[in-house]
Amino acid sequence: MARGTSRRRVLGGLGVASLAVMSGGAIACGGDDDAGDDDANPGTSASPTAAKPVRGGELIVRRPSATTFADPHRSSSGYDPTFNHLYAAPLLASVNGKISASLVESWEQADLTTAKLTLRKDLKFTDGTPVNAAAVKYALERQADPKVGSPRRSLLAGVTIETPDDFTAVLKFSKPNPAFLESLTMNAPAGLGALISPTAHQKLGDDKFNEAPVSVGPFKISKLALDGESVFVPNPDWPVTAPNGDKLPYLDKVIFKVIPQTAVAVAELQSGGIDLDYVFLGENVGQIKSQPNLAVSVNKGAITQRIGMNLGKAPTNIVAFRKALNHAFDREEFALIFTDGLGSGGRGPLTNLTWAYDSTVPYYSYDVAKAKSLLAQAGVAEGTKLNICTYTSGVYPRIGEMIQAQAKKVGLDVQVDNLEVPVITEKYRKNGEYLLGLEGGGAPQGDPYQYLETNFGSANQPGGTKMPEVDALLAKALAAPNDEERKKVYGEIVKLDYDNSFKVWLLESPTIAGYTKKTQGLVWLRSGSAMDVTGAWKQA
Amino acid sequence: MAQAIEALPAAPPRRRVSPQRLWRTARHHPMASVALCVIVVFVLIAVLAPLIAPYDPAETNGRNRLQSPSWSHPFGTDSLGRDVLSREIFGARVSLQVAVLAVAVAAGVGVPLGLLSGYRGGWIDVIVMRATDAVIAFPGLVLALTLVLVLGPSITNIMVALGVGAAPNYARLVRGQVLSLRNMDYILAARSIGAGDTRIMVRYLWPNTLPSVIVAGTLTMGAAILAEASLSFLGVGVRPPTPTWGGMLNEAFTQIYVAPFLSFFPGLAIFIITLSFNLLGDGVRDLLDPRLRTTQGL
Amino acid sequence: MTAYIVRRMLQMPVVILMVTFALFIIMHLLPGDPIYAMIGESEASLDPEVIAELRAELGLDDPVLVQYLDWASDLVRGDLGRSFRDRSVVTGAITDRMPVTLQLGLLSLMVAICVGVPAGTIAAVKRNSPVDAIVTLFAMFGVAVPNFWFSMMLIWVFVVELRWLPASGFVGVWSDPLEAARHMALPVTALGLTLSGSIMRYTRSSVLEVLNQDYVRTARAKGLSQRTVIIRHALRNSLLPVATIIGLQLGSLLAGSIIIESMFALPGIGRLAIQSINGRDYPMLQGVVLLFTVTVLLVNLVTDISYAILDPRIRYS
Repeated sequence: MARGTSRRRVLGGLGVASLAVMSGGAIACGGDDDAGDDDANPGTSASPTAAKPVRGGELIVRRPSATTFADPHRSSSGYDPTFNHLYAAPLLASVNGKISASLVESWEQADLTTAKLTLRKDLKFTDGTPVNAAAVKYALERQADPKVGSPRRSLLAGVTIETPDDFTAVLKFSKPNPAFLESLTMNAPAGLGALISPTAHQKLGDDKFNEAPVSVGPFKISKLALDGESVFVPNPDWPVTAPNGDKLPYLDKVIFKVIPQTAVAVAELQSGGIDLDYVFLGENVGQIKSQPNLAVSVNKGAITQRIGMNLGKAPTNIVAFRKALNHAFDREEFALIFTDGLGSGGRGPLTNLTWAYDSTVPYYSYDVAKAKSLLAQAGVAEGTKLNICTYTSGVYPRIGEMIQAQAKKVGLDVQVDNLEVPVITEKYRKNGEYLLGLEGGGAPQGDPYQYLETNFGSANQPGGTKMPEVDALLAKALAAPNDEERKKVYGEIVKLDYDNSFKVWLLESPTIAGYTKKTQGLVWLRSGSAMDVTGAWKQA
Repeated sequence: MAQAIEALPAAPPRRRVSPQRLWRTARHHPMASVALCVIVVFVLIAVLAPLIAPYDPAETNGRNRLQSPSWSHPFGTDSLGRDVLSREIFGARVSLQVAVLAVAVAAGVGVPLGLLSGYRGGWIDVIVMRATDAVIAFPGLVLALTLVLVLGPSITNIMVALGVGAAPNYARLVRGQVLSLRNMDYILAARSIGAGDTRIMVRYLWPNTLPSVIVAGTLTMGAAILAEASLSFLGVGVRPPTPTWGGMLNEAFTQIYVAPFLSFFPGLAIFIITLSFNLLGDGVRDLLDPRLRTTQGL
Repeated sequence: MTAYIVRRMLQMPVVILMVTFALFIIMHLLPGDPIYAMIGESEASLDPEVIAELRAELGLDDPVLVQYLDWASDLVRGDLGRSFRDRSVVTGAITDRMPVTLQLGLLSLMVAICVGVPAGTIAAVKRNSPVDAIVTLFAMFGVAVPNFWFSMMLIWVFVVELRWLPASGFVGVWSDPLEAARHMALPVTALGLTLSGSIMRYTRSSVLEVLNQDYVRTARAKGLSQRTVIIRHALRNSLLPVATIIGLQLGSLLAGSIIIESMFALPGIGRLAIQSINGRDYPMLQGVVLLFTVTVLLVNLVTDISYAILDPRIRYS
């Protein structure tokens, strides 16, 4: 596939925005595999993009785990956005890391504390009720309600919504908030962009609404089976067209099928049981490529994997010790093993997918001797015991074993615990019971504010360690007048991380999709763990 | 109460087993004999693991990963570049340990309860039997999974979880046998000369239930090894770097297309040892059942 | 007999109470708050306001005993509550998935019997011969390998290499028998062969036992052909305990369904059980375990009773 620009253009106009940077700690959870966040970067496939799209046909997409919340405001799984954005398109879209129109005709960040959205006038929820400014207010206020448990509720602190007329929503921020509109380009769990029909929601109530959500998007729900096969059919009233003027979507049907085991999904892709799976691992690539009817799309640098630390507890509260850890790992070996050479060793929090990335920042090299001398300097004896927790699925348990093996070479005895997500949240994040935590999540693609905040801000430190310096810089970034200035501040945060060795940036991994060559027009969602199938079509 | 339907017949009072009969038996139970030899070999491998393993089972080498079997790595290397043969040899330790200790826990809990329940009867019996019903009704894998999640993924905890799940079978088995034994002449005789309950249970009843407990034990061992693999599959395997066959198989599973040999060897080891335990169990049962002892087929 | 049945029936609720209460305690001991499972690893999971609201909504603020009594009193009214994980109605979620597990379980049991009984009989008759060895090895394959591995081998051969069968998805046998057969072929084989091993073993020992009974010796002494002896006498009489053992296989069947459903992407009860544990979905897990418990207890009861009816030597008091 030619470098994606054409595919991207197709989708750019669709207004199907995507997921974004999931919060720093969040990784796609559940299922048997790692998934991560992604962006358009259609790698290696070779299908002709120039072909004229064909209407009709069905697409079967694999999901590795059951959907928990079909309600687009409550969804908490990194896999949900693929599913959600089909019938609940976010307010704004994101094209090449830039905000663009979707449900809105125009948007405007008037100043640092005000943003204005002007809605399209031809939109209806699938229950026939109008998509208006009141619905925008309803959606945002609902996600701010602690009862709903919306994953990105914190973004709405200090946000008020005014509706001067039916199609205008004015967002007021109590403090500068230039990054807020980014969050409207995505659905939960990373963003706040989805609308729901207030009428339907009020009639059904939260629980029943989750069984039959009503929103607006290119598709609508025909059958919802959270743990089985869910079926989506085109929404005939969807007004947003492809850039060439084609009515969207092309497909007659999209089926999401839950297949927990990746090895089984590979078999199904080969035998024609599914058309698309976007949560493969490096080790699956060879097998898929060896099949004449299949193609692979590699989305490089979409995920960062790193070791987080409890900065409030000895010995991880000692800078020299943390630097020793940073020198202790052979990142190239990690990249070789865990990405099959498709990714690279981590160098820092940001990757070249965001405009805030600066390739000149220093990074740590693999140096066992230096690690040992830093350990001595930190007063940490040989054979000191540490514990690390990570996820039970995908590559994470094996990365944990590799960390253990390499840490042994510098004389550290690491106990690896593979824990389920709720246990990690409780023991690692909240209670700070672990010194180290192997984290993974989407690298930022647009403004990295949220990502840096989740990784380094006070609100998210394991064990509740306060990070006043970072917090001050984050506030400074928000108050910066433009992207140029903000980039400088973000650079300061990155430098601060390097100097203090807050985290060990191990890996930049790709997300990998396999699909049948007949399937065309796929594009990686901006972030999250998914591909967008709105503009997809199947060759006859 | 039901004379519980037990798969195993009650053993008669103990009899000495002479070497000649052992040999004859071995000849008549060739599969069980082979199975016993296989188990002995695996036990030796487990005991001698540090001496015979060619490499450190935890030593990684990313640049030497996923090597097909060769002279230097007869079973190949895994995705982290570790020597599969060495892991397999050390894995024997864990698998056998889990198997033996799970049985020990199961029998340790189940046998006394079964003795008590069968011999004393009455309300003790009702409580024990309903409690075993409750544990048996609780799906085994769900019980083991939740217990390991609560206790943490160590070898000890895994075998406790598996043992607790299996204990009711032993209680029922022993109780069934005690019910048929307790009115036998020699028990009545023991009681008439004033032997206390404890003495009767420990001295007379327990030894007679032993053979069938041993048979059940061999079967549980096979089941425990498989259960450990299932737990690994469900994400609660033994903590690294300890290699286990189940854990290896589960890891290999993700590389099934690039390196099928990775699943082959741990799969084979599990198959052979589980099969051996099962065959041994069958053999011992045939041997202990007097009605079968003289038969040589039709 | 009637008195016995009545007493067993009366004891059932006690056992159910014991199981569900024990489960309740174990669930609450599990590390990882259900709230964290519900909202994932997002920032909201560290937001005290969100946590407080959701805890209150799910009733997690009450003492465990109160929570249990609430659950039990709802149970009496037939209400199992709503899932923590996705807020669906527990009874609805379970009844939706029942047909999947039932179809998988019953078909597997059939396969297990069709393989296990003949294999066990042959092995007994040809005891200690090479035939016995071969049949035993074959039938035991299923008991001796982890079923996720066995499943993967089946998928490799029949899906990847031969492309004969699908590896995932559920089709009901009544809606499209042919497609259902194609979809069930692999999972049923995988689960069926796991069970056939134990059925084979029980059959073998049971047939052996009968072959040594006096009446069989007599029949043989009368000069009846071996085939007649085996079919008329030995098999018929040895199948009785085998039939009851099959009832007791239910536990393995349920455990097996957990793995098999996950492998072959069947949205059944087994997978629901695992999801509920991983998601700390207390009400759903309670519901699933309740279903398992009641089923196992009923089957055990029926087994005991049918055994007594079929075998007049057994008397219940």
